[in-house]
Order: sequence, then C-alpha cells, then structure tokens
Amino acid sequence: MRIVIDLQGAQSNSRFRGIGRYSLALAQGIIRNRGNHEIIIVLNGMLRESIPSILEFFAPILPRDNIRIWYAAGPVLEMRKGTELRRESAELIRESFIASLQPDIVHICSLFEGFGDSTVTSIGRFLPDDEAFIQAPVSVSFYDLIPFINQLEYFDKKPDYETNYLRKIEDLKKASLLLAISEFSRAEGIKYLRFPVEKIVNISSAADDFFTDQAPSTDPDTLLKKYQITKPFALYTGGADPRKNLKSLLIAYARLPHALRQAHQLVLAGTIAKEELPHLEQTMKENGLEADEVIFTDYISDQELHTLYFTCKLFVFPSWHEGFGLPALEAMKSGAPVIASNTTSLPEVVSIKEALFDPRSIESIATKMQAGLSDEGLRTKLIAYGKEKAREFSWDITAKKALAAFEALHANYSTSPTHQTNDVIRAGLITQLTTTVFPRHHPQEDDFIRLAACIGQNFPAEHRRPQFLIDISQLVTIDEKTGIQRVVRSLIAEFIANPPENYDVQLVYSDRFSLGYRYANKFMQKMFGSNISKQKEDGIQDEVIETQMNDIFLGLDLQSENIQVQKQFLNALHLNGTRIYFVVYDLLPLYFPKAFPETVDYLHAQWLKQISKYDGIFCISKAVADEFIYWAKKNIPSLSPSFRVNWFHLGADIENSVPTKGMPANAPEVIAKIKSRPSFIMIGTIEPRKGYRQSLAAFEALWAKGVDVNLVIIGKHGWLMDEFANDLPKHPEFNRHFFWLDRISDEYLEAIYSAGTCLFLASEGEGFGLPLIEAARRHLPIITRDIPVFREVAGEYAYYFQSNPIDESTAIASAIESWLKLFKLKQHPPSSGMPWLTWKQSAQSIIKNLLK
Amino acid sequence: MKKVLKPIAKKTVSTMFNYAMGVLDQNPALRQSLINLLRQSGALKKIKKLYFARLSKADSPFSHLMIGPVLAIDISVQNLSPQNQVIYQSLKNKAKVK
Repeated sequence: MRIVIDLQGAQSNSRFRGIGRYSLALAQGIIRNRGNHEIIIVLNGMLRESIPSILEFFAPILPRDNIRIWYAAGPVLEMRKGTELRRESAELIRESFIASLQPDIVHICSLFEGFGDSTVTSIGRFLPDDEAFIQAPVSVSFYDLIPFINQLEYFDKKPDYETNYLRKIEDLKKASLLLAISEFSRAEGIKYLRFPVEKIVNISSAADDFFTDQAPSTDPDTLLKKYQITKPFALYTGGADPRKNLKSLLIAYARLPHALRQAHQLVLAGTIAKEELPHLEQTMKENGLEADEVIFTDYISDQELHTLYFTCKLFVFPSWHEGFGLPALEAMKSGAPVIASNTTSLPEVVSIKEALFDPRSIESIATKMQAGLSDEGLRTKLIAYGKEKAREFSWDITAKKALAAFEALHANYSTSPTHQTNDVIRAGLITQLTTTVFPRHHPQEDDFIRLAACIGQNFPAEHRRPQFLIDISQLVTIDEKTGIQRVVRSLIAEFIANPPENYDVQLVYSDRFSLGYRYANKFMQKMFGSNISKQKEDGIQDEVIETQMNDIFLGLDLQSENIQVQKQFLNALHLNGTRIYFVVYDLLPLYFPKAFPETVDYLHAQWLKQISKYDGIFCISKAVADEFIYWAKKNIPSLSPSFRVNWFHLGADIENSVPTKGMPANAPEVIAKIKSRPSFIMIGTIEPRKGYRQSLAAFEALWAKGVDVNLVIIGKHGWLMDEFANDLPKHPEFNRHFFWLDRISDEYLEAIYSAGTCLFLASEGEGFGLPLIEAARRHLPIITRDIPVFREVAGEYAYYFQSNPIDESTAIASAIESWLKLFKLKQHPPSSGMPWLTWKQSAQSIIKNLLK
Repeated sequence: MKKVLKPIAKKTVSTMFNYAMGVLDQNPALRQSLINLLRQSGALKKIKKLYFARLSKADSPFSHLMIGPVLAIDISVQNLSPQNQVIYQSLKNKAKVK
C-alpha cells in the first residue's frame, strides 16, 4: 500500500505547538513500523523555511525521494482578503499533486490550518471531469472540536475564522477515516459530527523519548538563572487561550497559604499570546500576586522544557478542554509529579484520583496544588504513578494502530483509486481551474504566469529523464585558455560523449547580475554542433532551466562571484531535491594569501563556505581534499556529516580535450631553437606562487657559468608580477636561451612538449599539476618542487628539489645541474611509468561518485 | 529624553503601520489603488529597492522572486521555461473560451 502523508501540520504555525510535534512523531512512527508499505511525505513548498529541518529529521529513516514538495502561488492565508483565487487554485493544485503520486491512502496530519498562514488543506476539491477517475480515500488526524463546541468563545467577532473553520468541518466530514488522539476526542467526533463509529479510531498519542527521567537536557542552574527562578516551583506549559484556564490557575495559586507561596514560584512556560498577557497580569494584581511570584518564560526550546519538567516540584495542567493533554504526559515521563483537570481527555492520561481536580473550582485546584507542593508522600506517589502510566503510551503503539486502521480502510474500500498519468492530471487541473475558479476570481497576467510555473513544476513532462546540469558560466563568457578552462572543456566533452546512464547532460550558465541559470544551447551548438546555417543558429535560444528532484548540478567552472549571486537559486534547487556538487581546484588563496590580489582569499573562503551547504565537492587531487577537510574543521564547524568530499585525477590526453588549434608564424623557428639544446619547460600563469622569478634567476646563473640550456615559459601574464612580466621581452636572452609563449593553443603546446627536454615545475602550491601527467604521457622527464600534491601525482617518476627559503635560486640552479648530470648518464628518473588517466577515465570517476 | 522618546516613536510608527496594513488586507481594491499610485509616482521602485536591499542584508536563504525552484514573480512570459510557456498559453486560452 502506498500511504501519502500530508505533513503540513509540521510546517504551519502549528509546528510550534503540540500538533506540530504530534504530526512529526506520528509520521516517524508510521515510517518506523511501515513494513512493506511505501510511505511518501508531501510538503507545501510555500512554507519553504520549515522544510530543511523536516528533511533533516527524516533523513535517517526515509529516502529523500519519498519526500515530495508541491508548489502553489502564495500567499494564500485566508485571514487576508483577496487571496481567494490563489487559495482555491492551491487547493486544486495540492489535491491533484497528491493524486499524481498514485496513493492508496492519503493521511492529513492537520486539517484545520491555513487561516493565518499559507497552509492548504482540503478534501474532495479536485474532481476531473472523468468518470473513470477515483481518488484515494483520505484519513485525517483528529485532535478535537474545541472551537466547534465553544463557538461563542472562538468565533465571536471573528467571522472570517468561523467561515474558515466551518468549511474545514465540511471537509472533515468527507474523510473516510479519522484517527482520534484520545477516546474522548473520538467520542466528540461521533457525538458532534455524527461520524460513523467504525470510521473513527482512537490511536492515542505519546510523548517523545527525548522526555526522560534520567537526566535534564540542559544545565538546570543556568536555566533557572536565565528565567530568574530562585525557589522550588510549580510548572505549567502550553498556550493561554481561555480553555487553558490560566486565570483560575493564578487565582488558585494566590489562595495558597502565604508561607507556602513565599517558599515557591509559579512558572508559566511557553509563548503567551500578546493579547492574553495583560489579562493575566491584571488577574495577578487583583489577587495580590507579586511579579516575582509568577514567571513568564515566553518561548522555550524543547531542551529547556524538558529541564523544567525534570526540575519542577509540581506540574499543574488546569485546562478544561483538551484533545489529549500531551504536556501532562511529557511531564510524567520526565519524572514530574502531575496534577490535572478531571475533564475531557485528561483522565485518560492522568487517571489517579489524588491527581485530579475540578478545573471550574478554584478551591479544588488550590487544594490539589497545596497538597502537591507540601505533601512529600503524595509527590512520591505521583512521580511513581506518572512513570508507570507513561509506559502505556508510545509512538510505536500509536503508529501501529494508525497502520492497522489504514489497512482496514484499504481492505474495505469498495473501489480502488485509479492512477492517472501526469499529463492527464495536469490537463484535468487546468480544465478545473479555468472552469470553476477563474470565472469567480478573475486572474491577472501575473497570476497566469505564477500558476503556469507552479503547474509545470508539480507535473513534469512524462518520460522526462533526470538532468546532469554542468555549470560552465566562465567558459560561456570567454575561453581564457587557463588550466581550469582546459579541464572544463575536456570534462564536458567526455560527459557529453559518455553521459551518466539515464541522464541528459545539459550545459548551463548564469551571470553576476540576474538570478537564475539558462541552458547553454548556443555554446553547445558552437562547440559540438555540426555545421548548420546561420539562420538556424540564430534560432537557437538559451532557455531558462527547469529542474526536478534527482537532477544533478555540477559546478565545474570556477565562478566564485556568480555563486554568491546565485545562492538563493541554488538553495531552492537543492531544497527541491536537485543534488548539488562543485569541483574544487585548489585552496591556494587560503594557504598562500600573499600570492593573490587582495580579497581573493576572502572571496575564496566565502565561496567554499557557500558550496559546503550542498551535497559535496570533487577535489582534483587527494591533497586538495585533505586541505579542504583540514580547513573546514576550523572554518565550517556546521559542515554536515553527510557532506561528501570526493577527489579525482585529471586526464592527460590533450587530443581528447577539445583542443584549441592554431600555430603562430614563428612557431617552426622557436621549435627548432628549443630542439637545438636541452630545454626546460615551465607551464603556468605568471604569478608569485609559480616560482618564475627564482627560476629565471637560477637560469641566469647557469647561463653565466656557460651552461648551454634553454628556459621556456608557457603561460599568460597573471597578477602581482607586472614588472617581471613586462621585463621578460627585454631580457638579454629573450628568444635566444629564454622563451615566453603567452596564451598558446593546445596544438602549439603539444609541439613544445615534443620539442622540450624536461618539464620543470617550481610552483609552491598546486591543486593538481596537470603538466606532470601531460609530460609523463610524452615520456618527458620532470624536475619538480617537493610538495605533497606533486608527490601524489608524480610519485617516483620525477626528480624532486627541496625549497630553500634563504636562497631559492641557488637551490634551483643546483637541482638543474644535478639533474643534467644524471640526464647525461641516463640515470635521471624517467616519467614514462607514471600512471595517468585519460579524460574519459577522469570523467567516469566523477560520474561513478556522483551516482553513488 | 532621546532614550525615552525613541522606543515610543518606534512603537507608534509600528502600530500605525500594522494598522494600515490591516486595513489594506481587508480592502484589496484600496491596496491595488495605492500600489498603482505609488507605481505612477515612481515611489514603488524606490520602496522596492530599499526593501530588497534590506532583504539581501538579511541574507535570506531563499529569493522572494521564486516559487520553488522556478523564477516566477516579476517576470515576463518569455522568462518561463518552454514547457511552462505552453501551460501558460493553455491557461489563458481556456480562460478566454470560458
């Protein structure tokens, strides 16, 4: 059986109250005891702030695929006039979305919602004009009928609330099953709604296991100090609406003997509505209670509440109408002596005679409070009773009763629900909107756009395959021919040629000015498309992207500024179930801040912190992954344990990396000069970290000694080395023993690799060191600085030199000379045995980890 | 004196604002007229700018321009995905027919 649970009760304003806790705990219990049943939780996308904590709550016990989110255009709160179009549309959208999940049973955790927030609940609105369409039966958690029974107190001067509530009552009557939270509420349903006895089942309630009598959840001394609780205290927790009977509680407390009051305080824990507080303060004043005798804590966390239960001398619950009375049970479970009203559902929770009082009698409340605060024997008895009684209630028992009721309903339901495709349901929804809602509420242009967006998101096209979205925002703008862009080009070529199974690969991009991503269709056509006419090319549009759960987004290009602009967009994608990963090339700005322009380290840290909020990263070497883990420990203490830090290695086959083409006119002459004597090739942007200044000084020393070797620098003019770069063409050995090749094509690079004698890398830090494997593939020997990432990539297949901060150039020159001696004797370490991957293998390694 | 007056002024402005919003909530036609007036005078743009600047400072995790993972507010039809443009057209056409 597929059971769909509408969990808006844990999203609405009720999430701060017992209903929210009940909804979560019941759903958790049902999932825990589901057996062979499939459970799907549906959430309201308009209440998005509530979703992350719910996803986190269910992550250990329910696959993410089984939590689905629907979207409608909000706000829809009924207390605001003019929301009718959106609300009625949302009701249809919600019901049709649930129908598209093909449930056997739908359970609504809280029906009476949506007056003061954008919760949407209804039963039986979506009725496609199709005789064959049969909806799944709907079950509802049934808490109480307090406003219905006490209409004078709840509806007086509140006609909009009355309308909302009574409409929900009509919806409730359409339910096929009510799951009552107590025998008392079940009886209320039968009596006031005339609900058939067999369709309303008491599944009871329970307190979370978190409420234990073993130890408090927070430090009691700190907590008591925080709320200025200086004496042993009697505790109440809950709301302050009239039925909670707080006025009587205060009067009863005021009637306790003066000495007893002097020795105690009364603590009212939890949020008290603003409009109620003055009435309570007035009552205190009228009955001679001083301000420090009664403590109002306002909102407290569950942990604090537990500590208060654990430390109070007496717990009092004077409500005259409850559906269950969860605080009383929580207090009993936490080891507090509990006294409570003898009405409605409370005797089901607290059934011992000594603990019960008449909530309409001040004297009765005062008598029990006095006994509870002064009679140690009674307190001991109440504590022991409470602990024993609390064992009768558990979420597993409640959940099993709910599942049994679902099974019985399913077995007895006369007609099986028909399961329609998304296309059919979407068409039915559009027809119903246009025929029943629009004629009465007249949508405007904006409404059409928003509705279209929501409907499209809720009902994706049939047979849609998940997408593998690859962010290439930098490459789309300009190909700077940097190492990173070579990696991007190589990997996208492989991803497109060999996509993950069952995924559609899509290149996407964003900019720094507007929110959202677009498909890079024009780029795709330009880079990979066959020859097409100009007219046809002009017709290609970069459309806005659409995403669904299980799509994968990979931030392949390094675009740290874009991410700050797009973070809200990515957050929304992530919340909806798109898995988001980024490739991390290095953490160099953080480890070598002086080697980068000002603020680069800050921006890089911000970028890392942002991308750490998603699913994981792919570092281009284990060294980078280790650096990230080390850095994150200090800088991202909130990093999720499920955040995946993967690493992979880059490919070496330039020919399969969509190489750039083109040779300058003087290329043959340069290549001939390089071939004429031993030539050392340095590759990388001209910037402080690469060690160019020290290397050039070393070679100058060698040339002065008559060593006949070439130095070839391949890289663009970068940052913080303007003077050095500007002086290079003026160097006396320029184009004699020294060559600088700026922004050359991959084709030219290939030729230089073939002509050179040795790859020389003096960089103080790298993410990977792509030239290492490119050189190894061409059997070009390697001299490199001894740093962890080069050791990881090159292993024993390179000649290493140690840094010498005092005289770096001498260290380099000495290393070159030593290597030349070995080279002459053919004893230098050969690079040919170095393991290297093709770009295909590199891309497949990412895909394998992405699909894990 | 300033210390005393500041919270009083703040509370007064807040009360008046809440009251005005309450009135507008109950009178959508009046609200629309006010929005139109502000738009015509150019003030709406400035107010929005101020509002959004404040929003971005608040570093809200989600955008007010999005419904779920879709940009759907303050956009034109052309900024919908192709599939959503078809749905939009279908809604409009059917609404016209009715």
